[in-house]
Amino acid sequence: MRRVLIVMILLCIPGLGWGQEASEQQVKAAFLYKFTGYVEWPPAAFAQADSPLVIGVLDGDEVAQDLTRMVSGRRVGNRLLQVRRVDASDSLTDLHVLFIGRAASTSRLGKALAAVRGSSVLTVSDGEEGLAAGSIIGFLVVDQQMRFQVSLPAANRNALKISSRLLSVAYQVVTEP
Amino acid sequence: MTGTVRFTSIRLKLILLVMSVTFLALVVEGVATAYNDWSRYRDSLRTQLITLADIISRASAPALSFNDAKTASETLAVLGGAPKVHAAALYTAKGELFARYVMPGRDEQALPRFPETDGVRLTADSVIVFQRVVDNNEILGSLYLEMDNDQTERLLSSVAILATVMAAAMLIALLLSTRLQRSVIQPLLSVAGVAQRVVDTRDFSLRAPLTSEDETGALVRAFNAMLDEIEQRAVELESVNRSLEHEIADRRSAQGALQLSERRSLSLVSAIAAVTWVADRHGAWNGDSPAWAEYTGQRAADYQGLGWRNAFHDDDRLIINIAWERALVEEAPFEIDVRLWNRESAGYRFVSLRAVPSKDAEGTLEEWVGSISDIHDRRLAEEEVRMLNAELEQRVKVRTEQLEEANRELESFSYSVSHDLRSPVRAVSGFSKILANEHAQQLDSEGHRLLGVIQSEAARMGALIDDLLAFSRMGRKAMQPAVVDMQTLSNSTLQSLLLQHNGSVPELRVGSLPQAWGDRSLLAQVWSNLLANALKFSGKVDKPAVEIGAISEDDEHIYFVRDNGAGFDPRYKAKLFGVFQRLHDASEFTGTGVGLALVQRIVTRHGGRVWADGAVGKGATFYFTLPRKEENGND
Repeated sequence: MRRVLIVMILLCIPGLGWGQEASEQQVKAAFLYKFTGYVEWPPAAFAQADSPLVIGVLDGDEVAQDLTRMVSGRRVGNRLLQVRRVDASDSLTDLHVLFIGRAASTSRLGKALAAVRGSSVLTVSDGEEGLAAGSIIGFLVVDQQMRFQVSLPAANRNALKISSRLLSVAYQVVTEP
Repeated sequence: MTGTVRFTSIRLKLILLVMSVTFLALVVEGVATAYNDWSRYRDSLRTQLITLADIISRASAPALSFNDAKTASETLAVLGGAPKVHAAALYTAKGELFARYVMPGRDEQALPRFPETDGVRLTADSVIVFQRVVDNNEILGSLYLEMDNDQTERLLSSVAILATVMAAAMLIALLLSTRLQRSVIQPLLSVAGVAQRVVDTRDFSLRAPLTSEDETGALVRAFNAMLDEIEQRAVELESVNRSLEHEIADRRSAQGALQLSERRSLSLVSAIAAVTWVADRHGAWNGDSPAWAEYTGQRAADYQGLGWRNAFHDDDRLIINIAWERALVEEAPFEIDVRLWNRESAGYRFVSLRAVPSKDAEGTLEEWVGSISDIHDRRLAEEEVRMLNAELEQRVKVRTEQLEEANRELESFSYSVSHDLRSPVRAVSGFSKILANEHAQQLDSEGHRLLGVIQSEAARMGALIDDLLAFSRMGRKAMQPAVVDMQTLSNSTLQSLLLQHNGSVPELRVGSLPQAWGDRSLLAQVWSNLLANALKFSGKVDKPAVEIGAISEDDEHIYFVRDNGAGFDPRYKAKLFGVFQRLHDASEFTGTGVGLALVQRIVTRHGGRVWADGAVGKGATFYFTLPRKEENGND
């Protein structure tokens, strides 16, 4: 019964499946949402057992828009998902996921990553240089397909555990610092 | 020879019995085992496949999540290590084929194009499963796995094993039963041998040896007892046979006699002029009746069954039907006269139809036997006689009427004659009286004498005319019947007659007289005339005697008056009661000759009779009867 219900909800939400005309931004938004299912945050990252999981979006209005539409009313585990547009000057450490769009300049990227270093925030950058700049996950396009890289040292720094199942589908997993 | 065959067949039957029981047990056991194995193996196939599908779907969930077909294909390729799985496929949530694996050498096109609903399905040569891939409560797609179904091969191999085991078991059973049955069959064989010898030699003194005390032993005992019985029976049968032969000879001679009698009956039937027939107990004719066909011209098909009734006259058929209905109920013979069509005279003729029920020894009605005889001529003759009789009666009646008419005319004539005669007689009597009274002195003695004669004759003439009138009046006067006391009546009549009587008084004997029914004055006339006669005719004997009496019969009273007077000649008996018939000369006995005629007339009008007995000089007896009338009460 619950399964049937979920199927119906999923089918009602546009852009969830790997559709024909899904835009790159929509794919990124979907990836962001799905990452949350394969990452384990330390309990201290949440105020309460049912506190919402907050995804911050920096310099990615289109992604934020898609993501907001996508996650409304959905949960990961028993947590609701929230999308928040943030600025580099904002306090970013209470986020759980931080996506830094391609629009951000390299300095803004570095600054933001530095701001959450050591905090249990899953940083996701959009670009080849993101991983080098210290983000945990970086999007890249391979053969016109959206793929991603994962940096395990970066994850360790932020006290996050990445599921091996996620790693099995990553384009590349960086294990050395 | 037959004994050997039978013996072999028992042996065969025993072996067959053992073998078939063994076979049946093995088959049942084998089928049960095979079925159990079959269903267990099917369950294990199912479990195996589901487990495998669980593992693969979990492993391929991230690849579906992140649209990584390459990784998904690699995951599916792991199945190359499972030799039974020969095809696998992943479909996206939208139902598109995402990744696949096909065992080398298998048809790649055999994969389903779209995922189906979850579940395991078994076909003859494969087991397939569809299972949804779910991660984080999201349906990501479907997994399809196809595995070889080697259930049939497995079943075939277990059947082969079963067949081998069965063959071995049957062989052992055959050896064992062949060995065992010998001990059972041997005693039976010896009994059968004895039985065969008895049959061949008809020697009933043979006996089977008793070898064991089991059921076979009982059989041997029973067999020997039976032989005892048969031996005894054979002797009895011999004597019965002999007596039977005598009986058959007797019966044959009786049968000959019976056939002779039957032939005689048949000839008798054909000798009889009448038509004879036989009907079943419902009145239907079955056999041929040539005499009937000859008489009526009906063909066998027409008269058989109930068709024979059609030959009778339409108006008589109802009579026949009623007679038959009644006869069938009462089972009694009947005879009716009806009209039957006669071919020869081309018309209906009267016949007498006679039917007699024929019953068996128990009295149950079996059939009807009957005859039909032509009574037409007789019937016509009877008819003629009847007609002649009727004609005769009519003629008598007419003649009687004519006679009565003549009588009446005669009576009225005699009445008027008497009446007319009276006045001249009176004139003669009156004038002679005047002559005697007023002119007596002018007549001499001879004149006186002649005048006396004239007077007496005129008086006699008057009396004669009075009597005649009375007699003729009898025919006209209406009777007034009542109960009449004859004792009193006769007595008073006698007394008044005695007063006028001038002869010697007779000795009177008066018996008891019953009452009568009639006209009192007329009956008084009867007594008066009879008694006057008696007094008159007995007046001249020495010791006159008159007797009155009566005899009572069943239906009439007979009254009589007897005297011992002059009597009469019996030759003239018939003339006694005629008018003016006198047997005696008037000079001897006075009288008009009308008295007895009047008596007869009165008695006849009362329905009685008169007659007389007597002889000359020996008196006379006059009888008259009056019918008894019940209304009279005491008579």
